[in-house]
Amino acid sequence: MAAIELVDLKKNYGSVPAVKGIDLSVSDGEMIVLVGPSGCGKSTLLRMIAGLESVTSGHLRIAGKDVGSVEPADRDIAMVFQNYALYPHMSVRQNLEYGLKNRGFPRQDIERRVAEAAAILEIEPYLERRPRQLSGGQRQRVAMGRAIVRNPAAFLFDEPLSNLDAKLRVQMRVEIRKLQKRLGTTSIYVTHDQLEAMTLADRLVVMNGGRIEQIGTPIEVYERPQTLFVAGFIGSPPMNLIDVGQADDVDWGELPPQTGVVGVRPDAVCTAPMTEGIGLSGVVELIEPIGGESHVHLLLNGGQALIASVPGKAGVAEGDRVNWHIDRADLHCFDKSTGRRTD
Amino acid sequence: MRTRNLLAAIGKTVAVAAMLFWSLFPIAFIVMSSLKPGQDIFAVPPRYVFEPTFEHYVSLWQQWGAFFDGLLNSTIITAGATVIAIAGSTFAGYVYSRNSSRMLDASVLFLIVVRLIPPIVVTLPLFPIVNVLGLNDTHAIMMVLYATFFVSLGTVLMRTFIDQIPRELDEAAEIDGAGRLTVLRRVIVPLAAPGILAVAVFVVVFAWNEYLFAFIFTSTRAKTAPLVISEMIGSIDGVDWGILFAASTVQLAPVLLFVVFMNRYLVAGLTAGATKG
Repeated sequence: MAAIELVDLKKNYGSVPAVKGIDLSVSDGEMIVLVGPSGCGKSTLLRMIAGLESVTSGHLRIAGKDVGSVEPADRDIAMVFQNYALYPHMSVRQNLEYGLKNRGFPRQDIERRVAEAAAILEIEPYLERRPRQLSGGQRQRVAMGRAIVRNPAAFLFDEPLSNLDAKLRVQMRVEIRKLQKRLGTTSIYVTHDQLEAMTLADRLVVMNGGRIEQIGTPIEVYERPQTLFVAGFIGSPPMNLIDVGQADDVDWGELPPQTGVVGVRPDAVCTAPMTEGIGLSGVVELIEPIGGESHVHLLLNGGQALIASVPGKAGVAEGDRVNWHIDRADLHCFDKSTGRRTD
Repeated sequence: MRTRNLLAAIGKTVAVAAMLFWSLFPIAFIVMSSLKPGQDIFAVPPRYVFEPTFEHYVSLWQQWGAFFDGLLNSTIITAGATVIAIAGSTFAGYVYSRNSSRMLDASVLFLIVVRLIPPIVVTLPLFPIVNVLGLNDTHAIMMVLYATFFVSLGTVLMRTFIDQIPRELDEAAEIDGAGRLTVLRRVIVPLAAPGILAVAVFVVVFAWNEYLFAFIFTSTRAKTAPLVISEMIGSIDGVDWGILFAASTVQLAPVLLFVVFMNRYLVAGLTAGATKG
């Protein structure tokens, strides 16, 4: 177990920068989730930490030791890959043993560790099988087993659940989190699935265009997104971002200086009769019932689209004209040109 | 519709039969002739029913000891060439598969172009070099020559096979503490085994049958079996066709069995990369 520290870490492919200066401290035992859209540099960053990509500049320390030019094998990390990367010609047992054998662990020690890992992950019945004889979920467990069997300083997860179906993904997500808490191993987890990110992370790192947009606990990031990008990326359905200049029929009241865009979470829209707050009137264009709540798509009078999450069946019909409102405290204000939060 | 299907079926059968006759007739002719009594070999009309005899094989053994020396040489050279070609192709194929640069990409084209040069163009200038090196008439030079001619095709073939092995496996093994060579040996080679066998089939068939290089670069110690067979035709006592056919059958048998046995991999090698695995 170990802390991981990244200082102004950069990666260029030729003249194209992929990672543009990352500063991040991961505490011992912490689970950090890197989240962002495709091509934001999160996987590259993870691969740099693993040693699978070279570091162009900056420092990378694991347990206080600068590992920027250390071979992957000598970084004391384990990685779980998106496609599992199990050795197809080896049995599950051989897959688990491989890293230990390469490092010259004694036979008895290898057997004990494999037995322990297999017990934790409940894969004992499959130890003599080949990976292709296993289901997706079982393969994922073996991949995790290969990581935990070495008891490394850190786990690196590269979108490990994206090849699984939705139901299994939720199940494995819970298992990964439980396992990580139980072992207390420092973990860095990459995903583009924001639900996965929110549920797994001690701290969330939202990345965009090779940079970190925001670091914080999932709730902090959700409740106070620091940039327009984070506001639009975290949350489902996404935050409504309304250009103040265009929605001039809405009385926004006093907004912080430089505010060009206001954000409204869909679940902050209130359908009860307005007492105080900011009125939003428009026409219901579409209702998406999803069970416990409905997503109501409004076209505001100023021409902006807005999604509201309302409990139950919404109680309105498509084509209805509504006068809903939001609490002033639920507004997120952003500078349009810099994208930074202004309130 | 039914008539068309029937016609298509008949057409297909005729075509396959013609192909089979075309490829099997010479083999059947050689094998049968080697078992016919001498006077029956070129009898007109040909005799399909005869009392098989092994007299030609016995004569071959008694009169042409050189042929069996040649077979031994052929075996040694073929085995050596196969090992060298496989090693070279696997290493090079791995490099081509896992690395990319302008130089490497350009050199692939060169690998293919090399295959288009007529062998004789390369062979003759090599002769003085081989002489100076004192490698004339040695097993080593034949192994290297035969292997060299197949490393280009073998490399392209191995690259195609290794391309189908996910790169994450290399990376997982690297993190698992394996060095580059260990990754190659423990992960790539076992998974690319069909490719290696396909390369082996090509080299074995080529090295076993090759005549031109053997004619130029060997004389006595490393003389291969095909050379001895050609000497049988030019024999001063006149050609003993029975012995010639017996020798041809012995020469033909191992490679024929090998190809039939390895057929699966040969086809895999020819179609590798044609469709996404």
